[in-house]
Amino acid sequence: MKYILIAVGVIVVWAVFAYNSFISLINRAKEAWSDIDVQLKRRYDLIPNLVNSVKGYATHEKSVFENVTAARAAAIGAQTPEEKGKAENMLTGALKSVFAVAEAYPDLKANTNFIELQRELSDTENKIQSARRFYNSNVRALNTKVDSFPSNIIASMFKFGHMELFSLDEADAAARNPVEVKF
Amino acid sequence: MRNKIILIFVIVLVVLAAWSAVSHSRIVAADALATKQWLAADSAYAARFARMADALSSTDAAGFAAAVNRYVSSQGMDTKALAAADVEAEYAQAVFAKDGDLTVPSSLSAARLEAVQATDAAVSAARGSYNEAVRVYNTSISGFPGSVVARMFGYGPRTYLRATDGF
Repeated sequence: MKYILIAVGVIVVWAVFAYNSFISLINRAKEAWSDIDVQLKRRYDLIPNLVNSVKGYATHEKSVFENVTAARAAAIGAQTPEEKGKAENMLTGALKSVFAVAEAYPDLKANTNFIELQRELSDTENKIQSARRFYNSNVRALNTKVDSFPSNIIASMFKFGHMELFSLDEADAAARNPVEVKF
Repeated sequence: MRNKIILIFVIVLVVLAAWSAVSHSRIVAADALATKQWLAADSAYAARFARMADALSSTDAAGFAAAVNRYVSSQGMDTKALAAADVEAEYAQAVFAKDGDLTVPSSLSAARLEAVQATDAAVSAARGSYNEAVRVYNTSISGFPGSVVARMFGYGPRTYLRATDGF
């Protein structure tokens, strides 16, 4: 009887700690997501300025600007990390075409305002990558715990599920294909 | 045998009561820290918006002024966070080029614009500290026995300082 009580006590204490660790991981992931969200918003705010700047020089590149505007709207409307990831990939592609257009206009490339916008966008993208890595590491830790035994018992009891990773194709491709260094 | 069961029951109750007391103290401390960090974030935003207003003083920036008013008059941290994002967007619209005019309006002082940029790090740091404090607080009221204690004493979850709704 005594041993049964001790065993039950140990299991209950373990269950409480396992439950609390799930709560902790979920809150860490949510905090990390809030950082990504702020950086993405900053990026969305910079894009209209960039488009307006380039428009002044490349008036006939209408489809490029329409693509960026549509991709930005889709990215703002996306809700889940998976949707956001897909929308961000589209937006990055659309932005590349804007910069490709800008290449053809030396006056635009030399404009201090345009340079500042480019710098800010690049800085924001670096922050997004950093926030994304932090978020994904927390989500991976949570998802591993959800799948592992015996913590999966607590996960199924309290309905703790997987969280979505925030994947960006470019970043994943870069990780898969690291830069070659030749001597 | 019966006495033993009663003893075990009493010990469990005492442990739970002590655990709850510790949990309550953690919640109170986390709540106080989150409030303190919010005040710091609010103050960082206020300083930044004041510099923005200064930078835009010589130009027509009605949208910016309206966004600042919305920020000042909004109640609660959630709405204030969204209002702060609006102020940033309005400021960007007012400063950067529009309709192909690539030059920053000559009426805007470069030194004042740089003074605004100088607040970037402070705002970012304040927001990060606040969000971290919210995470600690939300964790303390969501776990066990924190969730029970929080319900008893009326503590609710706080929202992260974010830019948009959703997820």
